[in-house]
Amino acid sequence: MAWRSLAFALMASLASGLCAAPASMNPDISLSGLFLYDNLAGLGVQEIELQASSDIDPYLRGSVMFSFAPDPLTKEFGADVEEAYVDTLDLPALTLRAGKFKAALGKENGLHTHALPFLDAPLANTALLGDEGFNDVGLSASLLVPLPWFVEVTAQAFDSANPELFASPSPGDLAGLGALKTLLELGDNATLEAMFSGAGGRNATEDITDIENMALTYKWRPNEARALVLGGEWMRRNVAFTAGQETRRGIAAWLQFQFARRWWIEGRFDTLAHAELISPDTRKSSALLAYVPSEFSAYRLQYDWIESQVNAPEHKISLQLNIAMGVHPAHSY
Amino acid sequence: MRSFLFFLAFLSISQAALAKLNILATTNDLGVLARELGGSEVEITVLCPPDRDPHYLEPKPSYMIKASKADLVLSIGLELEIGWLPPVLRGGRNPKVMPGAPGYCEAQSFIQPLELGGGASRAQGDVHPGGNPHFMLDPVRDSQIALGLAEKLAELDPAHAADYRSRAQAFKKRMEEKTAAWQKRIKASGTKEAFTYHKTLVYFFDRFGLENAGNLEPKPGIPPTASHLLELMRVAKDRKVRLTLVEHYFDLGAAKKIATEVPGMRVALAPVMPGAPQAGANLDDLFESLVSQVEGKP
Repeated sequence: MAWRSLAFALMASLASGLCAAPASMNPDISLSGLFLYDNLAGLGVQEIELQASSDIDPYLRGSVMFSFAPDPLTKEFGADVEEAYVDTLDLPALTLRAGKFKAALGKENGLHTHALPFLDAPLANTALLGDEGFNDVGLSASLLVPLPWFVEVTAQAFDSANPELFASPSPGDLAGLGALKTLLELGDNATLEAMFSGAGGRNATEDITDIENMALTYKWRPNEARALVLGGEWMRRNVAFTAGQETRRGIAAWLQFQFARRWWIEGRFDTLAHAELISPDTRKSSALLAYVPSEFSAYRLQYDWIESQVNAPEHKISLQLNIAMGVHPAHSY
Repeated sequence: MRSFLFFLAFLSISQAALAKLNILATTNDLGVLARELGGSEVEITVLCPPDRDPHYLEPKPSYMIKASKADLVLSIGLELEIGWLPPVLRGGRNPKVMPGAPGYCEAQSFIQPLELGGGASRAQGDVHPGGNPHFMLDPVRDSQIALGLAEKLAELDPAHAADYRSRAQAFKKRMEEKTAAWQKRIKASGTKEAFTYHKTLVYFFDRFGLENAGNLEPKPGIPPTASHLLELMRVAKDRKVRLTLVEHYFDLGAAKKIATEVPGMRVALAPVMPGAPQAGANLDDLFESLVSQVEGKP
C-alpha cells in the first residue's frame, strides 16, 4: 500500500504543478551543544543553543535562538533569548528584519558561539561590545546592490538602552549602524571578503559612543579536503563623556588551514589596547587543532597564551566538544 | 550614422539577451539537461563546479548574486543541497525563485527515488530520508526529468513551449535507444557487482542490472576506516567482486589498498558529473564513460 500512496502523492504533486517536495509544517529545529574543559575553570558546559526557524507565510520568515549557559561564578544555568526576529521573503533585492538580532558589525559579531573559528571571540568583541556582543532589539534593512559582484549595504537601528554598549538613559533612544560587505572572486577557488561597518548612539552621559569595524577574509578552497582562511578584524570604540573621551581598539588576525578531510590547524594573534598607548593592554596568542569527524560534531583543542600589562602571563588549554542535532545546519562561508 | 547603427545592433543584442530565460542550476548534470532543452532560448549558470562534491558546497555570497538574477532555480532536491542552497536563495532576495514560487524547481519532483524511507538517524551517517539524491545517473529518470522540466520551461516561457517539449521528446527517444545499447554492453562485460566509494551509483547500478556489493565509506559521509576496508576485502574475496568504482571527487587511496590485497581487483575512476575529468561535456558522454569503465575499456 505504501507504494500506492507514494505514487498518488507523486502524481498529485505533478498534477498541481508543484516543483518541490511537500515538507513538514514544523519549524526547522536544531540544537548545538558546546562542552568545555579548560585548565583554569575545569569541566563545564560552555553553552547550549536551541534554534528554530520557519517560513511564517509567503511574506515572512521567523527565527528564534535560545541560549542556555552557566554563570561563570555560581555555575547555575540561565536562559536567554539570544535572537528572535522576522525577515521579509518577498521584497526584490531587499531584506527587512525586525526583532532581537546580532548587529552587522564585522564578521565575528554575527557568528553564534558554535560557529566561531576559535573557542572564543576576539578580545575586542567581548571587551568593547560586551559578553553577548552587539545584539539588541532593532530594525534592519539590507540591500543586495544590483552589480556583477556581491555588494550588500545594510542599515540598522537598535534600542540604545543596552547597559553594556550605549546605556542611553532616554527611553526610545536609538543607536544607528551602517555596513558595507563585498566579496571578490579571485579565480575559481578563492575569494576576498571585505566588511566595513560603523555604529553610534547616545551613551549614559548623553554623549556619543561610536564604534568602527573593518573585517577582511581571504578564503581558498580547492576541494573538500583542503582549505586556507586568512582573517583579520579591526575594531575601535570611542566613548565620549562630559570630561573627555575613552578610546579603545583591538585587532585580531588568524589563519585556518584544513590539511585533511577531517583536520584543521589554526593560529590567531589578538590584541586589545588603549588607542593612546603604544604598548597594548592585553595580547593573546592562540593555537588550535580541530578534528571534525562529521558535519555534526567536532573536537577542538586550543592553547592560549595571554599577556596583560597588569597580570602575570596566563597559559590556558581548552578542549571543546561541539555537537549539532536536528535539521542539517547551513554551511558557513 | 554608422555609430547609430552599431548602437541599434547593440540594443537589439542586449534585448535578445534580456529576453532569454535565465536558469540557475545547482549541478552541472541539471545544467547540461536544461541547456539541451532550452537551446538558444535560455541562459544557463551552474553553481557547483563539476569537480566538487555537491554535498559539501559552501554558500558563497557570489552565488547570491546569481540567484538574484535568475528566472528559474533548478535543483536536485532530496536534501542534496540543504547545506548551501537555502542561504543562497535567501541571500539572493529574489522572490521569483524562492521555494514555492513558480521559478523554483526540484528535479526530484519528477521521479520516484530509490532508498526512500530509510532510517532518519544520523547514526546511519549523513543520510537522505527522502531518498537517494543521485538519480541523474539514470538515463531513464533523466528522460522523466526532461519531460517535467520542459513543462516548467513552457510555463515560464509559453512562446517557446513547443520547442522545449519537442527537445525533451527527442532527448527521451535518444536516451531510450542508447540505454538499450549500454545495457547490452554491460551485460556482455560480465561484471555483475562492484564497490563504490559513496552511494552515488545506486540508480546507475539499478538501471544496468549491477549490484553494489559495498561502499568504501562505512556510512554515508564517513571516510573509509581500516576495519571497514578489511571487511570489504573479505567480501571481495568471498563474492568475487573485481571492480571498485571511485567517484571522481573522492581519493583513490582506499580503493588501491583493497586492490593490493584482492587479486584481480580493478580500480576505476568513475566520473559522475558532466564536465568532470573523463566525463565529457554532456549526459551521453558521461554514461558512455561510465559504461566503458565498467567494461574495463576507458
